[in-house]
Amino acid sequence: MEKIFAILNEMESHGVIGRYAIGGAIGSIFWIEPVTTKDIDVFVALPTARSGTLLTLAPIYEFLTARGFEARGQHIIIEGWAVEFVPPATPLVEEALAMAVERDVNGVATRVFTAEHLAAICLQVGRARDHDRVSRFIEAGVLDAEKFEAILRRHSLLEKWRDFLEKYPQS
Amino acid sequence: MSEIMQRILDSKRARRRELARLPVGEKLRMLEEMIEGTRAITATHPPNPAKPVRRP
Repeated sequence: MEKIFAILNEMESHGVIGRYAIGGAIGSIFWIEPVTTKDIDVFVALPTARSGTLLTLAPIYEFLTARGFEARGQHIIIEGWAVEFVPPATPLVEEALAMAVERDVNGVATRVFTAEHLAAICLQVGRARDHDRVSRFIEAGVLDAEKFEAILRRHSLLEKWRDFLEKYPQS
Repeated sequence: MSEIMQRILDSKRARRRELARLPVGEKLRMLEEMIEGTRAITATHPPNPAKPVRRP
């Protein structure tokens, strides 16, 4: 997987993508125990097209397919992994991208959402598996209470948090 | 919850915490191994039941 991070760094330094950070299940693995997934969600700020303000993922696909990687649906297959490039769709994800932290994976630098942002995104999405992941973040003891509460407050998620605690009292 | 269930749950949590503390490179390697294992399971997947449970 380090090769994928190296490619992302290259894309960022070439201006194909703006700032990027790993989120989703792979992002979670930086903080909690491994969870099964076949996808890598790469959240990216897209450089604005020269001709206007339209944002497009086309340069990403062009860059990668030119290097021999196969596009499959919305994914690009790199090293057997389905990599999806996702522009931030909510203020919470925008903030997560802006505040993502640098991490080293076997000598390759990459950027990942903080544990607090990943847990807050799970809470916001709110599917059963997202709630399960929030529980795992809590169990692993990796969430900073003050930072997490501040995120929940900024993004109006305190009610969802209360509902979660009520539904899963053991958390 | 019975005492034995609580013990199982506690040991599961302890194991999760232990895994969470591993270096990320090692965790990603474990994931790759899990996926390889999953592929092997998929290859011998049993047929679906004739009358699967459906939501009312």
